[in-house]
Amino acid sequence: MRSALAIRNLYLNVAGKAVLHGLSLAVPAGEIHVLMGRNGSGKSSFVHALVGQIPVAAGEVSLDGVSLLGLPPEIIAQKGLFLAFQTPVALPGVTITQLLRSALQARQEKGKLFDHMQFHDDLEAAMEFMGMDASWASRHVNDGFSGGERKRCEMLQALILKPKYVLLDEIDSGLDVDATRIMVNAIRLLHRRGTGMLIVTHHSRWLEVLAPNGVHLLSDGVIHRSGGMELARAIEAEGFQAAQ
Amino acid sequence: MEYKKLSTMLPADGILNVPGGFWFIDDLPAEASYELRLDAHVRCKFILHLGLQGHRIRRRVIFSICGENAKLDAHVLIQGAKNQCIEWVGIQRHLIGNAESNLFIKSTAENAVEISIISKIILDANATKSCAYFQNKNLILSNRAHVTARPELEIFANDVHCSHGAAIGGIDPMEEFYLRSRGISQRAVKALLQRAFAEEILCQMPNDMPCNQAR
Amino acid sequence: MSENSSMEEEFATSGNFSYAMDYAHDAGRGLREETVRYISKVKGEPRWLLNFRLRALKIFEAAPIPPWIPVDLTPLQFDQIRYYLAKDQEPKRRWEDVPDEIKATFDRLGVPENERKFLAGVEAQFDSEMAYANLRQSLTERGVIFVNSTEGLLQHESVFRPHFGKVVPAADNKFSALNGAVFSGGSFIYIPKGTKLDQPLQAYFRINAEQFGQFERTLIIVDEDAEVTYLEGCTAPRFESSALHAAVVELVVMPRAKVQYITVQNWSSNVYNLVTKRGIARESAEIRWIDCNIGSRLTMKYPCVVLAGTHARGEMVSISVAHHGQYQDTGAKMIHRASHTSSHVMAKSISIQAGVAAYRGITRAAKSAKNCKNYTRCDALMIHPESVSKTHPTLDVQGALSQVQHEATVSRVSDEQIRYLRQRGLGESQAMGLLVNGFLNELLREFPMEYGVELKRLIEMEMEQR
Repeated sequence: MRSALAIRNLYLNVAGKAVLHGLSLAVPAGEIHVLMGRNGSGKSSFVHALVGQIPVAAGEVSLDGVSLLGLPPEIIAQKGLFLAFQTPVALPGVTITQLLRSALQARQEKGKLFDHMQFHDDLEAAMEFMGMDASWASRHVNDGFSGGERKRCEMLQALILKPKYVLLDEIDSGLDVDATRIMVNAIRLLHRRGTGMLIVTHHSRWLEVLAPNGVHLLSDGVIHRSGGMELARAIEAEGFQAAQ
Repeated sequence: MEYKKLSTMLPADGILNVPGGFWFIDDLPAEASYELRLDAHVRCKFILHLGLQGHRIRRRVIFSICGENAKLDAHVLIQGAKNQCIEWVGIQRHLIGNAESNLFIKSTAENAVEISIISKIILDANATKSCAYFQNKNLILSNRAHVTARPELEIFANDVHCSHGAAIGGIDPMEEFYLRSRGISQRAVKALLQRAFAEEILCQMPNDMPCNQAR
Repeated sequence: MSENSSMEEEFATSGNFSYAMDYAHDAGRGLREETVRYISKVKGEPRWLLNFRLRALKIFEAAPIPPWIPVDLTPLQFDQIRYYLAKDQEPKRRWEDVPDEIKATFDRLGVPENERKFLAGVEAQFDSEMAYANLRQSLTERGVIFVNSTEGLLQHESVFRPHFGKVVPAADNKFSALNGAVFSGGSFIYIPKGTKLDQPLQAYFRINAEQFGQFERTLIIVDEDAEVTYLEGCTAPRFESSALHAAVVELVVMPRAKVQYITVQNWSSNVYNLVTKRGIARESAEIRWIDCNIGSRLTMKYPCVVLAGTHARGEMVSISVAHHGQYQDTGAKMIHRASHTSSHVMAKSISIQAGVAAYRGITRAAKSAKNCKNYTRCDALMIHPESVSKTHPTLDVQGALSQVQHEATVSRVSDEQIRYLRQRGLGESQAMGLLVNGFLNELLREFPMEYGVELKRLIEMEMEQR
């Protein structure tokens, strides 16, 4: 069986309401997939459930054949799943460097020494790639960051932590042209590394250059329709009604 | 700014008329009580780190603002663990106006520690145009720890700037989840956030203080 | 403290109303066992209730006056007070003796003629009998009980007795013990399961049934999924012959039920108002205390919500205005005993001339109470240089899973603000009134509209007089 982030028949309740009714979706390793849907359709709840923040009512979630259900969030992360939050929380007092170092040390094999030099080199290179100057390393995570800065910080973490699968929750919203370009380049870099990606978004135009392998419409708690970029274009042009 | 150790400067009666322009580090033993008086134009910074040693720790401090244009900037970090009993009783008293005092206290509470923080701002009727502020943040890290905060105000003049706040809580679940979603274990998250919490005050302390040497 | 002695001078001279006292039935002055037995007999109470009163009396006699009471209570003279007065025995005064200030307030608030004499202590009652009778009929049809304490305990013992004295036991404090011994009047209310009353129940309707004030005892039981709003007091200044008011209010709120308890207190300046109010909120229940304290010489009142069931919620909205010579010592207690409970306190106070407004509160989260949240905010507006503001909050948290937060600010009306409004054509006192109402605005919205309007007018009047 090919490696994939596989979701089968997922049922999810949020605040007593049923949000997902048997959602099935697969993101094969190295592929880029897009998830679209109305506000309130459950896209964010879905990705939050995958990383263990919301308990799942029924269904299966597996990463390369290993079930993720019921695992603590740090184990899910260590197994290779990364979520770029739409509105990540601020961590006053914790610098970006401290966060990334702790996260890498957590993935380290026991007994192995942490290579500080390599870490700093990697961080410097990644920050440069993301258009972030050296001062970012000692800024407190998301503390006083604008929306665009927060998203850049999320993507920086994905580049450093090298997950197998990345969930991008509206990584494009609120970005200007230059920032969007940087984001697209970062996604392409991840893609070249063989990272599987699920991009949650409302807009299709910026996806054109990424040539996603699949576009999926979430509606009424399930994947209502799947297709290619033509589905995304139709949704952007005519609204969600057109696609149903 | 140069810093001075309170143990070398505090007279026997426990009342010190602060000469201006210094950092005062309280390096006194577990139990101590004293008054610092700031006269006109004195600018003074005060740092205290409690909890590193001792089982029963008590501090009673009166900051008396006695002259115009005086300014006090005081930072207190309390790090309690095991079954320590730590008590802070503080008064910021403005006897005269046109002066400023800021007191910022942070505490972290682990294991079965008991921490009590009572701090009062008194602005006398003569103390018009005073500025007095107090902030107390307390982080509880264990289900057996117990923290009590009593921030009090007694204001007898109305043309003043005065506000205070206090908060007690555990680790923010959102912050915890975010760090865990990056693969960091719960234990490491707790240590990271505890450190981050104390950092705001630790970074104010001179580098050769014992707590900073351990970093 | 120096400001206290000048206040005492005020205490000595204000609030002196003289009137002839001449009536047949008399429980007499001072408090002895015979007084309590007399009260119980006049009301025709069963043995168990007499025993409750007698036990409370013993507790009252043994308890010392708490040392932290901020004002000297000696002017009160406990052995000179009359502890029981039936309606027709209440002393009256002549309309000519009512201070002009009070009459002006009635005008300003638009108090109906027939109510003015009642409020001013000139008459013992006014004609609200009809309105009350109609209301009672419609409530009874829905299974709602709305009666006074005597009727509640005698005619509906099975409903009220299980909870009576359990939320605020006599032993709670000296003044709840006093109330336990000599209580009379007050509302006993039961709302059946699922019943949601959209009109508030008002204490005003019942005042003719029995003496209103002094040692009222209220018990409200709201059964599962039911909702009620209760309103007591009024904005118009109320003359009270009796100087000591020690009321007790107990609320029992069953799962998923909601209570809103609104009080507007404007007692005359001779009154010492010491009230114990507490509610128990069970699973997913909600208790809101909405309190406005304008009158009395001293008010000590700390409405409490015990969050005893998971997901329960407690709220307190408090406005207190301390005029010259007054001491308003008010606050809130939020006790989190169950998990996932939340509480919110919003208190605003105004000190005018040498008035003292103090906030005294406690928020406690027990170890067993996980994931509790509290936010408390106190804002004090000090109008004059001689005004006084105090804050005494306590935050008490055990365990790592709850969040309790407190913030307080002190401010005044600035000259710049007054200048700005005067440039827009307002007179100085008008400007003051506008700014002070602005300060209170977001809390005034919590009161029923008529109260909000009346309170605003009262405050405007107050500012105009300074």
